[in-house]
Amino acid sequence: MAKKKGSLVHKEIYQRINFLYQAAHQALTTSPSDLSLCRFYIKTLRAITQRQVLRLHPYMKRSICKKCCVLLVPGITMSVRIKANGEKYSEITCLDCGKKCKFLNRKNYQPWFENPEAWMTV
Amino acid sequence: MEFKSNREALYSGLPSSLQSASNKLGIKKVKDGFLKTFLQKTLYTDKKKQQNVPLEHLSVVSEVLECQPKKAKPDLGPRKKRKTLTNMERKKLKIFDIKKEDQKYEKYLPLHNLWKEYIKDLLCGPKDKSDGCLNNDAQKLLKADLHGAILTVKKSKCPSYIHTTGIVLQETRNTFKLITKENKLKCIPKLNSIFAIEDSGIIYTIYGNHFRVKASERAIRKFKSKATVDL
Repeated sequence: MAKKKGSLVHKEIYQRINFLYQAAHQALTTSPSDLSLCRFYIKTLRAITQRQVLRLHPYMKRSICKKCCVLLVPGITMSVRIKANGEKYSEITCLDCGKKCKFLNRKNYQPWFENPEAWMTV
Repeated sequence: MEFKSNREALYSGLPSSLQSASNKLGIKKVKDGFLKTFLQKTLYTDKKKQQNVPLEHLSVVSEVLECQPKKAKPDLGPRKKRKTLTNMERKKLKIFDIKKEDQKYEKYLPLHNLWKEYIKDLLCGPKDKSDGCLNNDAQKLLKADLHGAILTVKKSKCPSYIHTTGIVLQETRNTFKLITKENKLKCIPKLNSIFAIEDSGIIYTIYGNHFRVKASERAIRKFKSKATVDL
């Protein structure tokens, strides 16, 4: 599924997504007790990607809470625990709403997006 | 090596040998707010009692131990559970409202600096100011993000809004929320008002009447160019 080489189609929208992601980070660091602004920026970011049918990078997608749209930073808004119930997995919990997420820790498993073939050159 | 008593060892800082080499190890100091909010979120406390008793007080700890586990919620039946919040729930929880303590102008200056860099990236530089380039910039600015920009109200039907300037914190379909230099959060409707944005010497005007779209939908919508702008 390697993409074609060529110019970036939605360059301005990607720039906007990048800006909103950074702004959310800044809002979180300036006032860690108040999450409202961080939430608002992530919510608009998601709305843009949904309307335009763009896909976020998996690492970016995993750093956003599915339920309450908060940026997940380990220790401040989320906790990570390694658990084993047959197979080992890491459990991510959003400290604000309590939403849980599981990611398997399999040996010798490489996700597709970490494969160099998946990357597009611009 | 001597061991200190339990209590002292718990609260002691890092040994001096480690502190001197902290730059090499990449140890950073934690910001003040982080630890407090982390404790407030992770420690389970009764919310009614918490209002009276400060967090540092020891009696809270004993109360936590005595607290009984909550009752299980009744079954909703075979209906599929929704994983995200609905819009009504979001409004009820007041998720997007900014607290009064955080309404300070200086806090949001770094956001404005970030926006400046973003807009510099987006628009072509101030060196060539040909008409075609300016036209292109105006088209791009329509689709750009305005969170963090300094906005001024030029004209408005309501005279008390005129000449308010501030950093845009939130943009909804019908309003801008600005924070002014007097540390006040002001909600200004887009209807019947004209705004101005300054970027590297060029002033762009925004007609609020034609700008009434959701911030997220603006990126996709096509704007028609008109010869005259009616108010």
